[in-house]
Amino acid sequence: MFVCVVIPAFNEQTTIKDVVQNLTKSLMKLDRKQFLDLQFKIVVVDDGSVDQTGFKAQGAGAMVLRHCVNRGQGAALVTGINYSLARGADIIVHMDGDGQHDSEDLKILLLPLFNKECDVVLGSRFLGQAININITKFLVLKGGVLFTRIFSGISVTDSHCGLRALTRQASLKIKIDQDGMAHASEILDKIQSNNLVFKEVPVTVRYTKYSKSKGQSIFNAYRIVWNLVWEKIYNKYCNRH
Amino acid sequence: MYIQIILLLIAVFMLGKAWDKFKRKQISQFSFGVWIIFYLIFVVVVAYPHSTTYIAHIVGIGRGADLVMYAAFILIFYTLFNIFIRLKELDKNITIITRHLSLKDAEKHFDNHDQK
Repeated sequence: MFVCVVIPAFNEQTTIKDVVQNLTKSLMKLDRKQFLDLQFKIVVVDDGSVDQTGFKAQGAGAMVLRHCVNRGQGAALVTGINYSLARGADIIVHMDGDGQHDSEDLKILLLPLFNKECDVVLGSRFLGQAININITKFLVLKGGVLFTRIFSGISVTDSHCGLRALTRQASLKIKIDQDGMAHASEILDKIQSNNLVFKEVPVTVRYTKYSKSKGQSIFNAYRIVWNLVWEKIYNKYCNRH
Repeated sequence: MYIQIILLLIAVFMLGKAWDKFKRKQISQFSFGVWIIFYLIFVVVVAYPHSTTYIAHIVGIGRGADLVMYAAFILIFYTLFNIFIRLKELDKNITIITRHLSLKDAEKHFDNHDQK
């Protein structure tokens, strides 16, 4: 099984090296009896960073794809996914570049896919741990869960975790149109509409001063909602796809 | 009636500009026609301001000036909507180009890697 971990990164020079190195360590450590024929590649998509993100990621041993202009996390993710699919990935993992996610969680994330239990595995910080989360963020995320239930009709405990793993077939079916942050909701929407089998697993998300400063402002929530609703109308009536 | 003269001059100037652009093939025959109709209506309304009152009464609006305002609003919102859609498309296309370039770069890198 060839696993590609796609990490979109925009100006993450302080964390990207650690993220890639920890990830490599965690993947090397996996028990090969449980994870038969495990091969992996770490794909960092440098989304038009103005700092040393690309070099640092390359130095840490990742394959680096570079966007010459900033196109957003969703767009970077798709670039990474397309690259992975072209390289023959069997499983594609999505992960954040700011060090919020714990690379040790890869084991629990990949296991259901290696056992062919489902098509998509979603990380959930509310099943697992959300360290140092503040109350506003918590409420907005819970609002996101509720919105996802109404908008897409899919019940999850954490709709915007960002750590997820998909099989090749699922990645081919889920076409991400959202360039910005709304891709997380879009993926869930398309899991539902494609009738893919998903499983949620507990993961740890660690909020640090850095990740908080880099992370999404809660005011972006309204923009995500607007983008999603607009895209649905647009695709329905203009029928571009 | 200085304002009428000024507005008529503006209309003539804009029509001349449209004609020039059409001759240089910078705008299509269709949009040239649309601009001509637009400025002809403009000229009529400026020359005979009361004509708008007549139409306004037909559609049930009290004053001609109000009708012009409503029409302008609708036109502006329609244009805005079109620009919005164009921007969305442009955004998508930029993303596609950016992705294509980055994947092409990666391919080159990969080929070099293979040769070594």
